[in-house]
Amino acid sequence: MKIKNTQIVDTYAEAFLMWSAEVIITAENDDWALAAAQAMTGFATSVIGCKCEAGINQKLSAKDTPDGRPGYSVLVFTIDKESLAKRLIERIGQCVMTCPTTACFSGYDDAEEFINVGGALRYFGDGYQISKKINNIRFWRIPVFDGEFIIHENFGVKKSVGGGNFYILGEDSKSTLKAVKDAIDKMKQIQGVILPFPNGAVRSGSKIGSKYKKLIASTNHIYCPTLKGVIKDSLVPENVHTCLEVVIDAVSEEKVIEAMKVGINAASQDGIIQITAGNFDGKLGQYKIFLKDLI
Amino acid sequence: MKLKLHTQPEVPLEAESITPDVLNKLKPKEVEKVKLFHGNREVNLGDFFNVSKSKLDLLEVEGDMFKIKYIGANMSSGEILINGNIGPHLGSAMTGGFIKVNGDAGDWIAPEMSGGRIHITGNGGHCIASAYRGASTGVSGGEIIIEGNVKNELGHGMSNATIIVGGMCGDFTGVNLNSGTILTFGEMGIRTGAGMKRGTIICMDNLEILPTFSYDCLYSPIYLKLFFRYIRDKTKIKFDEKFIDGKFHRWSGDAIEMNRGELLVFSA
Repeated sequence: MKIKNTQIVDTYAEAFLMWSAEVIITAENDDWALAAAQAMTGFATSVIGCKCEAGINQKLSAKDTPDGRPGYSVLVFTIDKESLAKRLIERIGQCVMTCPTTACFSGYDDAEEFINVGGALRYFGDGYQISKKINNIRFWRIPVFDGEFIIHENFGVKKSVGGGNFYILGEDSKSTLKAVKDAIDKMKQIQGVILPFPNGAVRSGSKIGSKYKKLIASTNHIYCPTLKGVIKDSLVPENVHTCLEVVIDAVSEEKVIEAMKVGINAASQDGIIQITAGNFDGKLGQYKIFLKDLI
Repeated sequence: MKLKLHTQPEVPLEAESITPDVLNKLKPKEVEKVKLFHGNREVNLGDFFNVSKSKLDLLEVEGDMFKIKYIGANMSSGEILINGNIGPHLGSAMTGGFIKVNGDAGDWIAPEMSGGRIHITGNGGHCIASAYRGASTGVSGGEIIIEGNVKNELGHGMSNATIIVGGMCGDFTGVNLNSGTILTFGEMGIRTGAGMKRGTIICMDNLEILPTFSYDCLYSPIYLKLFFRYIRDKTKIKFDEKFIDGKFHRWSGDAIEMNRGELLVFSA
């Protein structure tokens, strides 16, 4: 299979079930809203080491936010619903409530399950917090130095999909970086999708387990060009000298597929020898996304 | 179901059976035989109302019903649409559902309400959402919107509920308020919030502040941005957009009680 001159390997990406929440952060202006959104989504590349994966979903204009101020939609993913509540309480408490002028709202309008976030953060108000209901939805007003921090009591959560991925194998670093950048720029336009790694790309793609018993993940050595001559099972073609991975979390399997399709098409360009995907023989997740279905 | 008043009662008619909970299960002929109290005499609903089947999935009541009390009492679900003026005790002790009144309402609307919504497009009388005499708590939940003016003692002893008034209020608004929110766009009478423990009273016009309230600050509460947008979407109350991004003076009180209530007064 080929797109232009790039070979598409007949394999599949292995994705898995996650839980997600959409957090709407608003502020007096875009600068403060972005500062809070960036702080909240920092150190959230992988559940392996960060306990959650998070990213900015989209920028919101004033007419699209609950309080009519500019804002950002942030998506946060975890392995289970209980830990999602903990992560939201930590991250909103430390990164959003602390940021001047911000407010924080639950984003999913169609969620059927909810977790208590504002109802836990309210205790920061030390008894001076005020509860308010609008349209039968409870908010908390917590007194802070510049007035009040307002937050929904409950945040909607959904079953979602994490770990969608594809690998870009290029003839050199320059062409691979360009391809990954082109793919990411296109994928970022899709709502309901985040690419949690730096600029959306991963150079340290991982496999399950390690020769060291304490590690649950280690470098996916078969895609490391420096080991091509050392290991027998290397999957790096002879004319490939750089590999990069794109990891996708999304609100649904359909969104992961849409993002992968867009990304693979954009990344298939001069200097890219092969595009493949990471899977672990079905040991990691419930979703198999075949590359042949995306082209 | 549609009820149309054909005979004006000579004395107040107590019509607590007129709720979706009671009437929606019945056929029109059965509805006509539902019992009401005309003064102290038991009468049939059909003695005062024509009953017909309506295509709409709601209970419609039509006529000038200023002498008819307790419509929607104990209502738990469903919807009543009232076209005309309505008498006292509308929605008494209701726990859910929605009552819309296209007209004016009398005194003592929604006593002991704990849930649901009442929307009055005209004016309201005295003691709306108020606790009965001697009771420390009255309304304990739900939402009441009055697009016109109301008289004295709005939300006396109220807890948790929300009241929105498009026009002016009489005296003693939010007296002994336990919690919840009262917002008025017009001028308020004297002694607003007297004895309030918690809760919020929001005023966009002149307000005489009691000496037992203390001044906090001038700020722009984000909560009000949400609240004003909700009012704009849910009602036909016309208000100046400047309120949405406006600054409000915050006063805390009442110091003779817990001192945890707040008055938010628009700063012109």
